[in-house]
Amino acid sequence: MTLVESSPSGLSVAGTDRAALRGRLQVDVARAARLVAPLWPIERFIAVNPMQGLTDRGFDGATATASRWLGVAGLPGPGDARRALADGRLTRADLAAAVAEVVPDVAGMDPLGGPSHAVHPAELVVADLLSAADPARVAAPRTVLEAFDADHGSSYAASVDDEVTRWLAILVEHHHGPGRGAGSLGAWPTWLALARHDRRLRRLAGRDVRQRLEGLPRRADDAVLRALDVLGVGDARWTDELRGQVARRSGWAGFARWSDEWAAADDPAPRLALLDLLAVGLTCDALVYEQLRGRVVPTARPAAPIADRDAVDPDRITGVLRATGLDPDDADLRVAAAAVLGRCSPRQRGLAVLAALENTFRASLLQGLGAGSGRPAPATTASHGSPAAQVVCCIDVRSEGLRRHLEAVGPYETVGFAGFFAAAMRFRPAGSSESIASAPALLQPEIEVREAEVADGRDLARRRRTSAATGASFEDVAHGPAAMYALAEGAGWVLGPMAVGRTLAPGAASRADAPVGALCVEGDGAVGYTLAERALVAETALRTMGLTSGFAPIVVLCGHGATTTANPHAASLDCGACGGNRGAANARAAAAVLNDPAVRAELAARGIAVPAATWFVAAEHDTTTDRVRLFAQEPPAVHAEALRRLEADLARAGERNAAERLAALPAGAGRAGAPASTRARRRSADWAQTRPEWGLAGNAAFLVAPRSLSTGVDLGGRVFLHSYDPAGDVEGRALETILTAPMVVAHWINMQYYGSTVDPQRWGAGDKTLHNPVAGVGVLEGVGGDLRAGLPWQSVAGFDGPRHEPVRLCTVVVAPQGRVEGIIERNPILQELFDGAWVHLVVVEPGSETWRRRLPGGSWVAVAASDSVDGRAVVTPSAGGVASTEDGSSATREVRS
Amino acid sequence: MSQSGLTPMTKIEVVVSGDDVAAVTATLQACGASGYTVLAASSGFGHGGVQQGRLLFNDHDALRMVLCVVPDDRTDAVVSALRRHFEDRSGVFFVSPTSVSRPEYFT
Repeated sequence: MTLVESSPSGLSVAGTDRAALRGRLQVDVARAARLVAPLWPIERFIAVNPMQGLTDRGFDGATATASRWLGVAGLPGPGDARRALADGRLTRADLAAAVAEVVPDVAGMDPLGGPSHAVHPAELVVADLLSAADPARVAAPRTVLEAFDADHGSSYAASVDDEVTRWLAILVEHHHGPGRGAGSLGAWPTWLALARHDRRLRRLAGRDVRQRLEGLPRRADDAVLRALDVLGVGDARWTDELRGQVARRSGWAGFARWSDEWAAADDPAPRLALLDLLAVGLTCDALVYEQLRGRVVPTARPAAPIADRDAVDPDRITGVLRATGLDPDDADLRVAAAAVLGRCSPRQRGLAVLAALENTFRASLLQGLGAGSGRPAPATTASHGSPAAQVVCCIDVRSEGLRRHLEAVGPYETVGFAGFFAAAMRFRPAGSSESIASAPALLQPEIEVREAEVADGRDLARRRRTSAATGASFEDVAHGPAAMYALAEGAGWVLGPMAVGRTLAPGAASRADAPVGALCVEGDGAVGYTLAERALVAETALRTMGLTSGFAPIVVLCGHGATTTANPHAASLDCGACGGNRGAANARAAAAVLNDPAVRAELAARGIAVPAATWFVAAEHDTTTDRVRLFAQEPPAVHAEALRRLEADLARAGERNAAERLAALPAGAGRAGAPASTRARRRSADWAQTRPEWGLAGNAAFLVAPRSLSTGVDLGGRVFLHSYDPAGDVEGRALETILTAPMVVAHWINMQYYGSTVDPQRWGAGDKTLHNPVAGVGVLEGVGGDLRAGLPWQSVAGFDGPRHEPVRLCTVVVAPQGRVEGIIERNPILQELFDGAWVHLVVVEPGSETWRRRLPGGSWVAVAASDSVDGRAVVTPSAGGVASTEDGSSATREVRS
Repeated sequence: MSQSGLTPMTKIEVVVSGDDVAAVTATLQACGASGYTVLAASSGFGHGGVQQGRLLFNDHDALRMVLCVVPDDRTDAVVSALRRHFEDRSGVFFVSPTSVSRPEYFT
């Protein structure tokens, strides 16, 4: 199906055919869009798998596709292997085992050399891998204009990209989006109206560009169809050309995906339709190409795949033979070595490095959790003690340290649950006219919860309104391309001294706790929850976290947020379960629900008897300062003393956690003698600090189990901890919820950090010090170029290389294997994640000592004791805690059953 | 106009993952559909086994049904586009004759 005829006024095919063309184009646009992940507005940063649109291809297929179109490495490289070897995380034996696992052909080959010095082929591959440079990115042409450039040595495509990305920033920032009024046009018609005045476009596409623009279709899809026709792209190649267009501006395309697929209708953020983006990009390509077509022979052709180039040259063979102690002059050995190396492509070497890192981490984790120790896995979360308080923290990996230290300083139990505490809502703070979605991105909350005016509510509301209006005005001006200079002239006399003060004494600028008003959780289901909804929130939260009996007198619901300064990516450090917002509002709402006598009565009728004396209180852990703020404005008198002790113990735990965290941060020592909490607070307020905290860097596992499995184990802030009571979930509903929602979010976070680490330029946001915000959308690196997706390099790496270890999430579940299998069978999303090797799964039955790993496809292998990770513990029993292993010498290995 | 006063049209029912709803609705509109209805929590049993209709904390990965009514002359465009969509995406769609009382809503 090609265009029979085209004209400057647009398509001239019959109406029915036009509808068919538009429909088919839309399908191909959706296909092309899957090359990139949706990119949320940076003020509500949501971590997402950069291959989110490709998950149905499996991890291997998706990384290969991303490599081919985006030019990403997609996998850890030789540099990652060398670093892991140097710092003791890996041994050559780990790498050789991983090579044999990834390349079975190599595993089956005979050893090289004689009986006195036999070298397994996998060792040869390891030697080769360790001496190799990271694979060079091959910029294969993906679109017609890129192919033209490749053939003619020109750079028109790069010039068009500069032009288009400059326009997209202008269009999104100033001319489009719901906030611009009901009459606002889409980006395509706006560009069409303005581009005629663009002198750069005239220089690029010819002096008559103005006349040619006037004849273009007003509909974006018709403009795309026309441009494809001009570029000579037949319908069989539409998808590839569109993919190439998406790949050339993948950041903006990601934002367009969010606009098209994820943005709520009333979301105030700017918008960009992908069809508009493609219409602008393809039209610019076509305008340039039309000019060139008359002068040279058109060379439209399919984009060539990026070759997996890795010739086995003689020097390489000599190098690996020498490195393995074999004779490099032996002709037979050289032939054999060439055969070995020829069977292992750079992609397979990358997969082997990944497998080695994952195998080692998993072995260490399972060792830490007791696999191979002979200790049976716990069967229930039921409490055996009389804790002074139970503290429910978010599953976020940063909660792990606080929980470990809190359990060590006092008689407390901790619980892990998604930090929105089942209270999905749109939160409207006092003094605000807008509400924000405060729930996981997978949910679209509709119930609004409002913060009430209190005694000093007018003051509070007025302060917030003034602050918000001032902040918004300042941001609008500061990010405007021309007004920022006027701002510097007009307000510099105020801002200058403030800047000096902040630079010299960063801690002094930090604000005290803002007051809060009570939350109105009761309502009609539109504003506030009905009683039935409140009861459902309460029951769901308690059952899913496995807290249905043994309630302590005080139960703390502890959300989290991060305090940072001059940080466009600040939301990336806030709570993902709360939609990239701070978590206090959800914790306060959930506490209010759980303290409601009517809800308690409903819970009792459903078999959950919460003692009348039990009091739920909200809190918020500031992960940058490690201060925990309790929202206990009117505590019952009976709890006053326990609350005072709890507050003191939270401060002690926070101090210990801050010290532990600072030790791992670059220049974390700070001023000698200052308490860790003081140093952390100064760091959070320092506007020159690019690493206020490590965020979720290091995340690698998701544990679904009673807390007793991991109590006392130092998990190094690498594990999402979700509490689960296998005994209280016979039908598996809680586990199904945990695996299909919190685990999916953890997988997104895990892959976001993975992508930003293995390819910081294409999947990461680049250098934080060069970021230039595009208001309400994201950042550019420098003054132009594509919108940057992912995390800044400083979020995943220190001065000496990556802090984050790029591994896929390892989910560990304590539950009957049959229950887990049943849940996977009825949930395609889980089949996609586990069978597609996006997430690894290990299961141990309650009361059992046998740990099993599920392989893609559904078979299981037993994990047994071994010594493969001795001395390289990634997780360790902590001093003062309950040791997770009895002798500390056993690790784990796998045995196929 | 039929004798009953209703106007014959074509009903398209599409069952897809929540992940694909935006792509499907955009395609229907591109083909000239004037509107659509999305039903959440579609559950059942079929080619892929048991399909969960509703996930507690995940609106995005559960199945949904998209309902759309178009004049007969747009049916081929819709069917052609949806067949292309389902070349590499999971889900099903059904096409059946229907009648409407307010044809101006669908043209």
